Amino acid sequence: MHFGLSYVLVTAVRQLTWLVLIALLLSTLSWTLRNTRSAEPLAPGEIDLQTLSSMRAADILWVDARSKAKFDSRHIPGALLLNQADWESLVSNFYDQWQPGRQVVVYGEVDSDNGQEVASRLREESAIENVWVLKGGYEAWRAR
Amino acid sequence: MAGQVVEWVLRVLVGVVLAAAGAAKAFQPEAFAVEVDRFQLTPWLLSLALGYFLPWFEIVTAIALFFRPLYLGALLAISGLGMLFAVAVGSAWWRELDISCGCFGALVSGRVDAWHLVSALLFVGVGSALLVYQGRLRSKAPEMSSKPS
Repeated sequence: MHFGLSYVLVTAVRQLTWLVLIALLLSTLSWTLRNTRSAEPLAPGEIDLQTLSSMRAADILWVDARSKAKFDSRHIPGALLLNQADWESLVSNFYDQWQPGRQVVVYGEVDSDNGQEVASRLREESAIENVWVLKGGYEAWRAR
Repeated sequence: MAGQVVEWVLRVLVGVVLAAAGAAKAFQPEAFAVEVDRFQLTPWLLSLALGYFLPWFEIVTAIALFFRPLYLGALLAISGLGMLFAVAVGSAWWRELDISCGCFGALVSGRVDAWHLVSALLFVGVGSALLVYQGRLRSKAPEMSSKPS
């Protein structure tokens, strides 16, 4: 290899290491500040309203994991009902509404696991990867 | 002389694009992590790590283009970022994933298409070409190559 280019490449690799370290430091600082401000960091498979606000509405498929009574009373506009109790009768409607590329966001009550349960079941049965649970549940959306 | 002018123009263009792309995503890392995850190439935790790391890496690289001690590293980083982007975009395009690029966070919501692949390969080309140019400068006049042009 040409001597000049060899020197350049070796030097470039050394300098790149510094760039990676600096970026790692800044990103770690960013992560620390963001997760210190919020009460709890996002768990795997969880998503918050702040993240969703930067996405296009058409790219989100809302899934309500609560009871039918609560869904009929109030729900996120455009959401479809899919809960454990009526899974067999409701899941076909979900598949009719879902399209590849859409982010599926499941919400339940903040003090219940129904959102997590429905999301887990969706991931297992449908093999859809982009299934998220809304942090804070329906209450977080109401309080925005 | 012409080579130095071209080099400066490229440094400014690439620096501006990288800085803008990084700044647009650095303060919404979770949103960018979602965009990375939609390429379906990485598990969620790695997507989240990249969501935090990549925007700051872009910003640092953009600054390093004008900082002599790290200039060559910045050129290598540009080639690497371009290659990474080309693999991701090419993979999404091949699998016909209907997803947005995520290049500039929420500022621009362009679907992945051939233009993104071309842009990525341009970055690889520019970074590589400038590295080769610096190599030639050092070969021709080592005593003058203590600093970039």
